[in-house]
Amino acid sequence: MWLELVCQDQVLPPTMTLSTIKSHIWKTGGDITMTYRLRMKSV
Amino acid sequence: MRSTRNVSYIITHNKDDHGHLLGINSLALDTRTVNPKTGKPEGILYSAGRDEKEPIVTINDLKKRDGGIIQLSDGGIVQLSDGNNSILSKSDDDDNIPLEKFSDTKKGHYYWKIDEANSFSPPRASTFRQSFRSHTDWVNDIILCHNNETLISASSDRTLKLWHPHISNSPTTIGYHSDYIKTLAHAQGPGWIASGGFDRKIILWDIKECRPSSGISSINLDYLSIGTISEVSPKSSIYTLACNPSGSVLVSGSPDKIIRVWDPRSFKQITSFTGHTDNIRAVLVSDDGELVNTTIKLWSLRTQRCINTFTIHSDSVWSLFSDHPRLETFYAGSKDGLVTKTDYSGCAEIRDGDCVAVCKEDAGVIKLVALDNKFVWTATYDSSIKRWKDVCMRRNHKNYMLSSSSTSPPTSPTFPSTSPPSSPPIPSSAVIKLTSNGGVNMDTESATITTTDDHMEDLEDPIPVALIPNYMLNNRRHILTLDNSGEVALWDIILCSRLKTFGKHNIDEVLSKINTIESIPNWCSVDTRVGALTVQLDEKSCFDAEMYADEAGLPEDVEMREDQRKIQRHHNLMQQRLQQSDFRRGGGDQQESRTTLSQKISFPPATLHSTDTSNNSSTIYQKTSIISNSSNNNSGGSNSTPTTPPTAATIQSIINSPGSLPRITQSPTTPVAAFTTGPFTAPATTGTSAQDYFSVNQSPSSSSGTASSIMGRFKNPFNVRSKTPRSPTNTENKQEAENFSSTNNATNIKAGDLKLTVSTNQLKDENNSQPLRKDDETMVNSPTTSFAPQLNQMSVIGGSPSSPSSPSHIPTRQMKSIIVPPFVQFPVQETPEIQIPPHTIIIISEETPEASACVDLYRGTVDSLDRDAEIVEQKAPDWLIEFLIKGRTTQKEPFKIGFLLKPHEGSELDDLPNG
Repeated sequence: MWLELVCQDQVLPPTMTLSTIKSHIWKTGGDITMTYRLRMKSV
Repeated sequence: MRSTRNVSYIITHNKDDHGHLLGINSLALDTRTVNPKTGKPEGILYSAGRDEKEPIVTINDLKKRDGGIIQLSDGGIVQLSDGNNSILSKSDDDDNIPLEKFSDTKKGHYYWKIDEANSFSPPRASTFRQSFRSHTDWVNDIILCHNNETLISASSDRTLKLWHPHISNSPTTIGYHSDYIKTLAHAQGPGWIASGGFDRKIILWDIKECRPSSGISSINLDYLSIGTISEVSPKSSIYTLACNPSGSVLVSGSPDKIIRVWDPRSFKQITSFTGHTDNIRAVLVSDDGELVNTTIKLWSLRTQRCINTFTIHSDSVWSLFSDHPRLETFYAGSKDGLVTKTDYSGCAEIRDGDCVAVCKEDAGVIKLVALDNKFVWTATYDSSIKRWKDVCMRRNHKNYMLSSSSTSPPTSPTFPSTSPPSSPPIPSSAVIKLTSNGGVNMDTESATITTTDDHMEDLEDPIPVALIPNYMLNNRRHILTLDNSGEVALWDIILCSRLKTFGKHNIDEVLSKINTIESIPNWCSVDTRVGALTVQLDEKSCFDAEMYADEAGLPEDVEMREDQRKIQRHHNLMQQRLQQSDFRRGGGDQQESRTTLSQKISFPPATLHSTDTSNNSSTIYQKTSIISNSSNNNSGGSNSTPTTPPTAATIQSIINSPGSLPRITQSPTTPVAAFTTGPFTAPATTGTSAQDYFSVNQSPSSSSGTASSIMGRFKNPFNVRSKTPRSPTNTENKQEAENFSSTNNATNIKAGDLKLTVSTNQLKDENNSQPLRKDDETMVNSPTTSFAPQLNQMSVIGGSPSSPSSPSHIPTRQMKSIIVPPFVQFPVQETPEIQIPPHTIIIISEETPEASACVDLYRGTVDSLDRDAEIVEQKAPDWLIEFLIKGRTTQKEPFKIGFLLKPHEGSELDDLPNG
């Protein structure tokens, strides 16, 4: 697990489903934008 | 519009709660039924409640309680008891509350009196006797008839049911209203009951014939809706009905404040009384046709005017009871919980009568029943029934008045001295303080009666908890509930069980603590209308939710989940459930024939399909299929054994002759042969059949390893099936056949196979165990037995724990190596099995466009599903059948979520390669 996904400044748990992300994190219409980065150890 | 059928289930924690969970709507008292053990009537009180009873589903329960008779041992009473009447004498008492039975016509006959001499012995506790659950919604009224042998209940589930409480627990449905049924009235003379409900109709039912033994043949004799004539106005729901024993007058009360009087013989309205200022919730009719109404006005039917108005209660009167033929003594219960007794018997003027407050309930008195001036039972929105000592009226009463708050046992004017001391259980509570202003204020000013002390109060049951509000957590699986004692509990509606309780907490706090961030489509609706969690499923949404098997937290099932760990469970929770219930239903028999069997049957074709890679083979396929079809037809006819040998031969020849054909063709054929032979041999006389079977078996198997293994494979399913003791019906098989063909795009051959299978089953059944034995042997002998486990595994996947062929798991691996082609997995098998508590109630109900409430078509428990399989088959909605048998669900357009994935700012990672 070197990578993590971030959406709306929140790190997404690996098991979270897209629909959950959409409804609870993204919360708006349109495509969800997620970014990936190396896992931050501090978090 | 067509009606829709819904499926729901009710989850309960305890199987054996028997108390009412919610308010009690009706009471009936039976003083005449004789306890077989004692030969004396002991009194049975019936109560009907708003909940479903404990076990599971139903909406209401009816309960029977026994009265406690003191001297008699209560041998007769079945189970629990609760407080009963206190002092009773030898005769009996009646104290049961919950359900009612109709009283018979000869009322006075031997009406047992409570013996006053014994009245000071400690009251015997009432016992809980029986509880019935069958309604799916509140039971609004109950009535006893036929010498108290029959109980009729009216419910908000729109049905009217008839029970024989002493004989069986399953009611007969008399009929339906198109809306809630609110009230019942029984005319003993003509033998009918009238039911009235929110659909503004009064329906009369002839119940004369429905004696316990004779079944109910004449139920629909009178089905007349009187209401259509004049009860058309929207406010004319019928809240109460009353009639006199001779059935000459029927009176209805409605929210429109009008009392209507009907002639049940002509179904015409005779007259109506206006003058009430509020909803009329109770009416009584005296034997000769006088009536009283709620706010308590006494009307004379003869002169059609109001004789008197009793303004005793400061709040609206909800219930009335009188056993006086001319209603000269009556009890009234009001919304504020006050129960009063008014007695003007023997008075020249009504105004000389007395009124006394009997007791004060905490909540509105919905129904009350009294007996012989001894006890009064009250039912309220609360879930308990209370028994109160009645007050003795008249002469004594005056004394009380004089002495102001003198205390004396209400029951015993005659034995004043003995009372309090000798009756320990009723000590001070038995003492009545009549602080009321005693006299009835008639006509004139309304006096407020203040009772300071209640007589005696017997709580009925320890109150089981009823669930009130509920919240579904975001995972759409857990429900948080609050019950009426303030306890918060967490339920799992997939496993159908209570997970844990949190004690008395703020439910919102708990909710915020345990809720998860998840978004899952709603797949059901949950309500607690009956005091327990009811989960409603409907066709459109119940397959919407899905979850990952490894996150489901299901116990065990490891086997399965290994396979599926990564696979998204295509199924929704629902599917699991239904499947489960399906298996449950199978409980041994039908189970096989259902899911598991269909899996098995379809399995071979799947294999065929995968092996069918070359065009060459298709020819053979065709041929075989023709053969098998034709032979099948033959066998389909009756006992066409003669055709068997030729067929087998043909097939054999096909198998053997095309040596030049690629193996692959052979192998598919072989199974077919096996299949065809199987069925045919079975019906043939045992000797021949055995030979055929084996010979076929041997020849191909010797020809090539593959062939034999495949054969073994096919045989095994066979064996597996035949080993199971079940007896499939034709219908089922056909359904399976359908399933089969539709699922697999079946070619002829497949259909042929299937049909053969079907016939095999039939034939085998006919032939009984003989062929079965042989199959078993074959199986044992067959080198490829290892396939069985595979099948097994499949079925295990489907979740049938009791799959007959489950003995060995070891061979599974082997198996896989032998059988190369991938198996087509059926959706049915995709969900792990879950264990649902056997007392979970399952209801299939029908919602029709014209009615506002659902009518139950089927109600059973998970436990009883196997027994009820046939009924379920008939009653279940199409989509459910579709799912259960074919394993298919309507696929919705997958919900698409678009997303972009890019490197995080500053992460220095590369963009994803395109694609």
